[in-house]
Amino acid sequence: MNGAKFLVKLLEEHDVDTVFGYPGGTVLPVFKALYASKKIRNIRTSHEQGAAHAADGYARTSGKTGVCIATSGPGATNLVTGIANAYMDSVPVVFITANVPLSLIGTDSFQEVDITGITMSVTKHSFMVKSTEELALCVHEAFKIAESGRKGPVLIDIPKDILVSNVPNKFMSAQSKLKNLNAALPDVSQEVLLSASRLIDESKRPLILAGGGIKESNASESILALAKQINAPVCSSLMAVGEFPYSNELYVGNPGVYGNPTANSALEKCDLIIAIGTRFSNRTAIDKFVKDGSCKIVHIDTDRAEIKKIIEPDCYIVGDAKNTVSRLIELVKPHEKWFDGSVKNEERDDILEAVHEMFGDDAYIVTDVGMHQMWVAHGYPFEKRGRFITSGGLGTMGFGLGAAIGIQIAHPDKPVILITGDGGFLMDCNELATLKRENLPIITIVVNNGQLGMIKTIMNKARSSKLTSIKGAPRFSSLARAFNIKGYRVKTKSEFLKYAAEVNEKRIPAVFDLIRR
Amino acid sequence: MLKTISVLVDNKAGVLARVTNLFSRRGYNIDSLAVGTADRTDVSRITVIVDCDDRILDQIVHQLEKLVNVRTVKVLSDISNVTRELVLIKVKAPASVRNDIIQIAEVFRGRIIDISTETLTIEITGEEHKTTALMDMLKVYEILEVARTGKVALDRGMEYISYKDEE
Ligand SMILES: Cc1ncc(C[n+]2csc(CCOP(=O)(O)OP(=O)(O)O)c2C)c(N)n1
Repeated sequence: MNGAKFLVKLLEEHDVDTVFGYPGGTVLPVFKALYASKKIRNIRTSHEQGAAHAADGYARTSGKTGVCIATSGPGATNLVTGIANAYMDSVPVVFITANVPLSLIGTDSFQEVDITGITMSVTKHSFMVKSTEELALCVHEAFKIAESGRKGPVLIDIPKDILVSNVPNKFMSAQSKLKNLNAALPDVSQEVLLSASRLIDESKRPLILAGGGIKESNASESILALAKQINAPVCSSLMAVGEFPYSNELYVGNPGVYGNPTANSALEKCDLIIAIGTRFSNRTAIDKFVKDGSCKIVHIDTDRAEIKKIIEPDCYIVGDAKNTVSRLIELVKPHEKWFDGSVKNEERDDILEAVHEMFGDDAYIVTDVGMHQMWVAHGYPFEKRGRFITSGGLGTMGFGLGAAIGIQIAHPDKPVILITGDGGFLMDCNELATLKRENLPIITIVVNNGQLGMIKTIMNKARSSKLTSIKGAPRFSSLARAFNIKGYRVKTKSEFLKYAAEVNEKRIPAVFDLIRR
Repeated sequence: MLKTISVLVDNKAGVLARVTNLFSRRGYNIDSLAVGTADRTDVSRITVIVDCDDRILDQIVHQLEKLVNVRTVKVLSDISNVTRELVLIKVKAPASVRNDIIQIAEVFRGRIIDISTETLTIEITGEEHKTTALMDMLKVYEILEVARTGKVALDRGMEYISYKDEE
């Protein structure tokens, strides 16, 4: 068995059912082996970046580790944005690249790049496989690292000669000497829980700020129970949008520069923030509320390195969100309600209502990056957790369609709706070819404002329309048709509902060019 | 403030690059860095001295601990550690001043490890104030080259760290 076949066998052992990728000369042996595999489905995208985001979207919604494969040189560099995106949002993906043969490494040979070097600061770890003997160990450890503790991407770079040379039987099993990656998570002591509960009891206006970290620990229900007990409004960072039912009285939305007014108002008034699984991103713009010291902080996170990185808390707990919160509930005293207002009372857009009406609570709502993303994050009435998928940390335009593909593959029977901008869609609409080929019934709604909306808001004073106009963009409905996909140009809720009903019934992909000028 | 951090890492290709990459990407300032194998050949010990406040120090320790190949991290005691650095100094030493230089070296317990008609090379170990003082004295004679190992340090007494093995 050659290295490539053995690699595929190892992937099968790790229960991989889908890989996303793009072929090239160096990586070809792997694709040959993949085509022979009966267990693994191989999704070829239009671009490696699309494959990377697809593996990311797949991982975010399936609970499994994504796998993405690309060739050496440009194939590998095209992955970089996707790798960084997964890193910033802590998504477990194993990226596999082929490289030139060992004898050529370091000689600037054709399509050679030092991809482990290039991605060093955006991966949890990376491996350059130097011999067939190491292959099994690298693959096992890569999955283990990607999946343990705070999750994230791991890269395996494999020189071509290892893919084509024979792997002797004795190298087929491996004994890992990896350190215990969960060692940093000690049992939370009762003492530290008590000091946290004391701070909560002493506060008059406690507020809960939840971040993306709560998803991994499935903590949203416990957090709501704590919120109920102490009558605290709950807000979420962008990464935790959708983790709390929009209709819940205590949910106040997503704070920040472009945030929900209700969330910002609650933050302004609170005297204690219970921050759970959040890294205090500058996007949440929390520092202006806490700098003057009028507000105390309890910080709960699994990653010790997040504690004190941005904000010095009055009390911190390194531990699993759900466990810690459940134990806190036992300790804290009930509070009077101090904040009136929930996000559900904010004004909402009728199109978002229409999407929800048509596709229901189960639909995965994916966004790209820009004003439309904020619009969805703040106004879409999410009820079921885990249904909002967005590029939070890196803010990657062109994330949407690739991610939607990965999600639809993971959930063939669920509606997957991509809400994107006209700018963003121009970055990834090449993946419509993948939708068509794989017959994925993804619904794309392009919020067509004729502008790079978010840049326009930043630049308003300068009035530089040259920089932000999308003049020259095609009619997106016609663009879709060029891919043999249904395309509709719509302006109103009723128009949208009419066509959406048609495509939803047939379970076919469609692009809605939603005119918003 | 200068802090000394000892890091035990897997002795593997690329590990040093990961550690230094972490420092440069997060903007931590390295004052001195020394690497060598530890008591086991599969383990390297990195001694890094950084200029930082307590909050950054806390960050450095926990960011280092997240690296897969980093096994043990310890901030050495400020007051109770021994720190040494080996310095080689090549000075211009024609016959007329040779004896003066040898005398100076002896005062500092430096050793002459190479001699030529025009030069002397002195080896000196010790704490920084000692090596700088010697360098100051030698400046009068024209220093041609200096090589430093970087500082290595251990805590005093029964304080010690060991490599954390697999689970
Ligand atoms: C790859 C990438 N390049 C540039 C940016 C900067 N950027 C953020 S939002 C935005 C405008 C997005 O415009 P559009 O897709 O039309 O969405 P809108 O804001 O109009 O909803 C830009 C250029 C980015 N986030 N990602």
